[in-house]
Amino acid sequence: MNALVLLFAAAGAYGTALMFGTLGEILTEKSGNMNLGVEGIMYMGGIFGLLAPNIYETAVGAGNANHFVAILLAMLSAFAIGGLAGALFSFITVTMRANQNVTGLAMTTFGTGVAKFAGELRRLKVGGYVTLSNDLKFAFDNHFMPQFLKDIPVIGKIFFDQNEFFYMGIILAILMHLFLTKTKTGLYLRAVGESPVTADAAGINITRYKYVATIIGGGISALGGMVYTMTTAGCVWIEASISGTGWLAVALVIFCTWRPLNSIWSSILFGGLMIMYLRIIVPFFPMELYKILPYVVTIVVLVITSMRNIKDKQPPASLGLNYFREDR
Amino acid sequence: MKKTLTILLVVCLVLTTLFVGCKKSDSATKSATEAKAATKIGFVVINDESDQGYTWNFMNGMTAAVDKLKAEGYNLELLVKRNTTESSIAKDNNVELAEEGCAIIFNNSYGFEPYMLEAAAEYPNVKFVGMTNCGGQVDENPNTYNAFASIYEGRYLAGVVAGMKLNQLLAEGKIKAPVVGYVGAYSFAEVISGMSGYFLGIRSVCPQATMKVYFVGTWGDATLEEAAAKALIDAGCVMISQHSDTTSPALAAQKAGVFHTGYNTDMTTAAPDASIISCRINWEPYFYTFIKNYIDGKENPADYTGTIADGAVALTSLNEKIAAPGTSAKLAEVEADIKSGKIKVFDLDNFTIGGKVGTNDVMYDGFAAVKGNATYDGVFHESEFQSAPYFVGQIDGIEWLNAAY
Repeated sequence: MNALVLLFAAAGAYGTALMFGTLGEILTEKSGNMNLGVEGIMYMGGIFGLLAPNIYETAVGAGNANHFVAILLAMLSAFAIGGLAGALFSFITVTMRANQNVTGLAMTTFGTGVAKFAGELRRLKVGGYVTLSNDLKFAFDNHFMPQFLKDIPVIGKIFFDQNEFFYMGIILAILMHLFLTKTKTGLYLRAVGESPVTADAAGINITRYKYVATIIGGGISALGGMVYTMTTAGCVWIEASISGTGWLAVALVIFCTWRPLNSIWSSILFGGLMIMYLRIIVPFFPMELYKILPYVVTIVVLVITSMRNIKDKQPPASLGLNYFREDR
Repeated sequence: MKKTLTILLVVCLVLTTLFVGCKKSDSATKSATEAKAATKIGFVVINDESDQGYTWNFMNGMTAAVDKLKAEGYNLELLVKRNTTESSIAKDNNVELAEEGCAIIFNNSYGFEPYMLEAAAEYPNVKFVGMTNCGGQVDENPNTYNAFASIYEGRYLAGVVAGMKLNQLLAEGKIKAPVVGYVGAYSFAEVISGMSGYFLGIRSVCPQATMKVYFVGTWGDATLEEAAAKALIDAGCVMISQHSDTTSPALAAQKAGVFHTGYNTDMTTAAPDASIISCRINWEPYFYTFIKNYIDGKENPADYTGTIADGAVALTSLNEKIAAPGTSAKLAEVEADIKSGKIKVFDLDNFTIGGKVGTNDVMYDGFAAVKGNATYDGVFHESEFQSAPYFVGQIDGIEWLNAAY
């Protein structure tokens, strides 16, 4: 029991990065854009989210850096680069009408390349690890909840002993859920994703909704990359660190059936499954089987949801398809 | 209109190829005259320098050796194939370098060797060096070589530093039990030998220490290494070390307020409050000597083990801020003893396996290319029969929490 509790508590850090990646992708996919470039976007968010506080700290001197400013800079720069990538994706798919899958894959390669280039450039300039001073490092992985909450058995460790981004992610998930289900704009966005023909006939500006959703979704996904670098990778740029996280986020979107609230528990679950082989040793259970568990679970979920065919657990109907008004 | 455009395009293409052809032959003649003088050294590496760990360490050694030789008047050209995976791409890269005229091709990762040996059979006039592995010295091709260093001695020294820190923490009442955590890559002899050397170094100053090991199943993965380090810390470990490529274990140790010793690179800048020291192999002497011998027409040994005395095993600078007082002096003392032979790392008096004195059968790696009885004179002689480590004994006091192949 204790091992399970510790497992899911440890899964929180990696799970938070996944949560942001998933939430961003959910928003994008709700508009009908399937942005497979999440991997590239998270990579870029990871390096730019580190570069901003790194440059800030170099400019003001170690020890003079304000924690809130550093965190804000990290979030803003990661969001900005993710938004830019999302805008690029939208431009190529919505305006230039290219195939979404191809564009997404190209964006993955592009984003990864840009990120590695930027990281290496900074590493050569700094002449060592691209990192922050210890003072700032603690600001980013700050388990700030009071100790008495952390001491609650079981729930305390899992829910209250997490860094600040975990709670930001939960608030974001709740806000996104409210936005999608309770607001008019959210309803229009869902309409765009389900049936752009109908939405267009109703006078909704398809292009604008797709653009904005993809830009904001890209920004949120990039925040996931930033969270990864600042928490799991400990505020040090490690070149191949984020690889694979973006793809997991794409799988997670399917796993939580495009509903933001599901992403909270499912990302912790995924994070836990990833590291389960280190915490819960079952004799004779080969390590490789542990490692494919998250993906197997995703496939099972996909099969079940398509078999049962419940209307609101389906992907947005026009996911991955570009909308051409002329085809109407 | 379309026809004229097409014809124009074709003409342009033809002209470009002609010009390119011209340039190529110019530079071909230039490089032909130069090639007679310049010796080309090929280097096939896993990852690239940006890892600031394994390959960065190798590249530093190689560029230092090449620069030193160039300063002595040797005409060298270094060609590097980066980001080679441990797959048939390794063979392709070796072949490409051989085709480009390399006289010596170095390979820096364990998993490259099978592919390197295939290429070596096809290019008998090129020398192929497989570092960290052992197949090159025993195969029938005379143009293949191996090399490594007695890094277990560096590990022992790092262990002494760790052990002194543990003693200090015990004396100050900050820890209850000196439990050490090790983030290993694979359950191979290379890792087991290193971690055992480390453990024995700790035990030499802190006899009641115990160790737990997690194997992550890959040479470097930031997420998994961080998770392994965290799992070890949750299991009660207060000193973390690693045989893996990223800085994640150091950072995880720092976050949890425990301590760390590293590998391949100085991690004290990444984790100044946790990382005390790291050990690494200094490849410069080997590269320098090998290349120089080749150009001077001298023979190179089929297998070579660099030692502390050669300068091949090095420790990064000690983090005095957090090291226990007296560590520097103790370190110098132990290093001198190892060099003189007074201290033997795998002294059979210092450890037991399964409650008994270690025997060659349980300690010698069955997968080693060169086999022999390394257990004599009361000591297990590591890196004597082959440079690649072959100690696989499961020392009492080290607990394997999982295994990875």
